[in-house]
Amino acid sequence: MGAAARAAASHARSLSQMLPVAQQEAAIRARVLPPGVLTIAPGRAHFAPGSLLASTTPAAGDHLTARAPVDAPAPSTELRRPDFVSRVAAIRDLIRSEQISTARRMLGPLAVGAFEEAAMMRLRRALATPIVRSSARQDADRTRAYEWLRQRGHQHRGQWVAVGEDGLIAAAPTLKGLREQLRVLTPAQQPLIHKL
Amino acid sequence: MLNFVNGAPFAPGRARYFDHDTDPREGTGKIFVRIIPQGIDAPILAQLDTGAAWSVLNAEIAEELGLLNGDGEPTRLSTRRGSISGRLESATFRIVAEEGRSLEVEAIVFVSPEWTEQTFLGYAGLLERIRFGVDPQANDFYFGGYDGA
Repeated sequence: MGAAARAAASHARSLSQMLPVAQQEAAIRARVLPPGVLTIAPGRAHFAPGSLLASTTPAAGDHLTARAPVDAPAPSTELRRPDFVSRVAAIRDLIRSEQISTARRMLGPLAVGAFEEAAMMRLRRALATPIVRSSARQDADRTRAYEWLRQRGHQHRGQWVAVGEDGLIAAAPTLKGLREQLRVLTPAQQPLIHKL
Repeated sequence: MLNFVNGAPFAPGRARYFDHDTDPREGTGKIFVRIIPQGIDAPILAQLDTGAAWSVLNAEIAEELGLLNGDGEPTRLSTRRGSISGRLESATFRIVAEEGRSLEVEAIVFVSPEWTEQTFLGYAGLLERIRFGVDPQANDFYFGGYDGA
């Protein structure tokens, strides 16, 4: 991490308590499961009688399936442009050094629309947390496709393969080529695609 | 599927994962889970990697999804193949369940024309909002979102 990033990270830490996303992360990570909390339905066999999972039953008010945006306070004129540019550079340093939580904390207080709007939008999008939704759509059992990959996959090293329950459907050196073959072959079930 | 003792769902979905890396240079088992990227609409295998800062899409998959020419945040990523340049882009895909509920995820992923290796599922922008557990005897991957998702 560069010196600018270290200095800015230190500053960000002092700001982090203001931020809902940081509060959410802290709240989630601070909770530790008591022993014996997980079961496998419907037989209620114990999956993990003891656990250090950093989570527990969702608390009232948790809304973590929605993308938790990096906070975007109202525009402010308090931050001068050189400071802003320096802060953005530090955030990029943090992303490159894989310190994502710190980068989020530092980005949070920066006002939208103050300077460099396009750059700020890119950073906010990059550092947004994912949106997760439940879906009823299921995939088939792929046990036989896995078995084919295990037994025969080495024969197609470096290729993209499409594998169905009866074995190999198509193979090609590129994904594009494989998908073109599949458009012609129109297998009854979507095959499993993998690069070997 | 996988519940707390009080009955609240922890991981409402389950799918069998693939544990065999066909790369002879890889000596250990891996956890490959199935995802269906929006735009490809067929299941592909992606390696679960909780130690990876970001999810990384294979370049050909990224190209098929139209992500290689995006305008996401440019950055560099340190990989086993060295440091590579690319962008952080939004991608939507489904983590598929054989039993129970699948998950639709709008994730942030790293894409680069230089990355021709497997697709990885990493922590930031994806796994950080997913609960999951692994049964290595059965090769089962249990997963779910929050608030019952």
